[in-house]
Parts: sequence; C-alpha cells; structure tokens
Amino acid sequence: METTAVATTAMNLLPLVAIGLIGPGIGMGLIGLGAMNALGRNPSASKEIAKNMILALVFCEFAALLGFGLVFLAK
Amino acid sequence: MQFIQTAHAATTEGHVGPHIPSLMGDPTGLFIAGIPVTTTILSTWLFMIVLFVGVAFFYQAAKAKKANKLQAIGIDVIKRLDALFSEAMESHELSRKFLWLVWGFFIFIFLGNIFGLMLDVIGIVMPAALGYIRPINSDINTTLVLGLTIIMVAQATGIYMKGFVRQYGHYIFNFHGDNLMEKCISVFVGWLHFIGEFVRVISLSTRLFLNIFMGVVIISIVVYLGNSVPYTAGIFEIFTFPFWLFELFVAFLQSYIFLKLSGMYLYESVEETH
Repeated sequence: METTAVATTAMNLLPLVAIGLIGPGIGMGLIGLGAMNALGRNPSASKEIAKNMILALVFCEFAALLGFGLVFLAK
Repeated sequence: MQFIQTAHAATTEGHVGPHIPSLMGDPTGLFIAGIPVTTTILSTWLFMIVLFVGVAFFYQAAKAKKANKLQAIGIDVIKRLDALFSEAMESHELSRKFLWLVWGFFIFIFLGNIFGLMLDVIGIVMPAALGYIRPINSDINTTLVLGLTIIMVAQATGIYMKGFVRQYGHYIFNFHGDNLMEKCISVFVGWLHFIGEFVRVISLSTRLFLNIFMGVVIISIVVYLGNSVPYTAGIFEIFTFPFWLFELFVAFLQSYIFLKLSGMYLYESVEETH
C-alpha cells in the first residue's frame, strides 16, 4: 500500500501531461496555419492578423497549462 | 510578532530533482497575530514599497511646472495605455469610464511580473533569500482576487446601468426569440451565461496564475539541468537566460490578455442586451 502511495507523486503523472499536450499542440498548429493562410491572402492586414493570432494562441496555450497545473494538485 | 524560527522548508525537502514550488505561498516562519505570513505576502509588501515609491516619483514629476524626462515618460506610458485599452474596448468613452480599474490592474500585473523576474536575479546573487520571496502572481490567491474584482465590478456596473431586474432577468428568464423552440434555446443559453460568470472568474485568474507559475517551474527545471552536467561547475546555467527573456515576453502578454479580457467583460456589462 505504501509503495503505491509513494508512486502517485506529481512526477509520475507527467506522462499524463504529455497526453494533454497533444490537443493544444494540434490546435496551435492550426492557428498558425490559419494565420499564415490569411497573411498570404491579405498581406496588408499583417498587424491585425498577428494580434488576433497571439490572442488565439494564448487561449489555446491555456488548455495545455491547465493540464500541467492539474498534475500539481495530485500530490 | 514572532521572528524567524525555522529554516525554510524548501532547503530541507531532501528529494532529488528541481525544486517545484507549491501552488500557494510557502510559510516563512513569520507570524502576525497568529496568521502565518507566506512568501507571497512578503514579496507583495516588497513590491508595494517599490511601486508606491515609483508612483510618488512620477506624481512629483507630473506636478512639476517645468517639463522633465520623468514627466515625458509618464505621459507616453499613459498615452500608450489609452490607445491599447480604447482598442480593446472599441470605444473611447467606455475605456475612460473604466481606466482607473483596468489600467491600475495592468500596471500592477505587468510590474508585478517584472518584479517576479527580478526576484530570480536576487536568487542568483543571494540563494538564501529564495525562502522568503516569490513572484507575486505565481500564487493563486493574488490572481483570484484580481479576477473576482473585475467580475464584481462588471456585475455592479450592469446593475447600475440596467437595473437589477434587467441584469439578472437576462440570465434566468431570457425569453428571446420568435417561436417556442427559439425561446427554449434562449432560456438555456441564459443559464449557460449565468454559469459562465463563475467560469470567467476561474479562467481569468487561472490563466494568469498558471502562466507565471509555469515560468517559475520552467526556470527552476533549466537551472537544475544546467547544474546537473558534470565537470562544468554549473556553467550551463547560462541557458536560463533565453527562458528568462521569454518570460519577459509572457509577462507583457499576460497583462495585455488580462486587460483585453477585462475590457470585454466590462463592455458586456455596459452594452444593451437584446
């Protein structure tokens, strides 16, 4: 029993973080893809596109951070 | 007030690996009226001293009759913040209405993040001080207060502008639509909005907290990795510097996101619902 209790530390749950990083990784890639496509279509709107892209990236990054942060609650 | 009794817990943890801080501030061993003083509270007091002295200098410069450099810097900062927030709120009049709150929070969060990064530099010079200081936004309590204040002010503004019944009737009895089906959907969406107000507090505070907290974790991991290369006497700790610069960018980005989101929420509280 004690060994299992020791095994459930934050560090042993890090593979779960890696699984949680898959989704935001794909999402951030898609955001970059969309921004590059938009930039190719409309190069003069680069400032507006970059601003909104960073905003979307931050929202997406939050999902990854949430997965990382929840592991610290599992002590 | 008792004085320092024990050494900090972080040095006596005794596990191998980078030091991962806890979600809330660590106790320093100080007590005020029986309440333990955490590392975050000590750092916040330190930051408040720095901030108030800086604000006093700018105030003196702004009151001065003849133009000086500090006055020019202050005017420039305020102009930039005005442009930033007018853009986020999409209205100059509305942005002026909430400038006291949102600009204050922006300055507090941004300078607090920068101050937290400066604490890393202090930690390099004086490792023993790390038991008493900690970046102020890497504590969930600080950011929770910031998020709660924004949402409470938004709700209070909504009640003031639209009245209690219209503000909360919009959430619970939202009979908007042409036919019965649309009305049913509107009621459900209104309930979702009501839950969303609580989710906003969590997302606003957790986003800022987790970003800064992950910065602390990443920097401590890189310092540990740099130290663990044999026969180099920790020279690879220099690779912390790019991460530190990235954290400077994150410090600005997160305060900007906070400004943008709080602008959005405050704008929703003022606008007429249909």
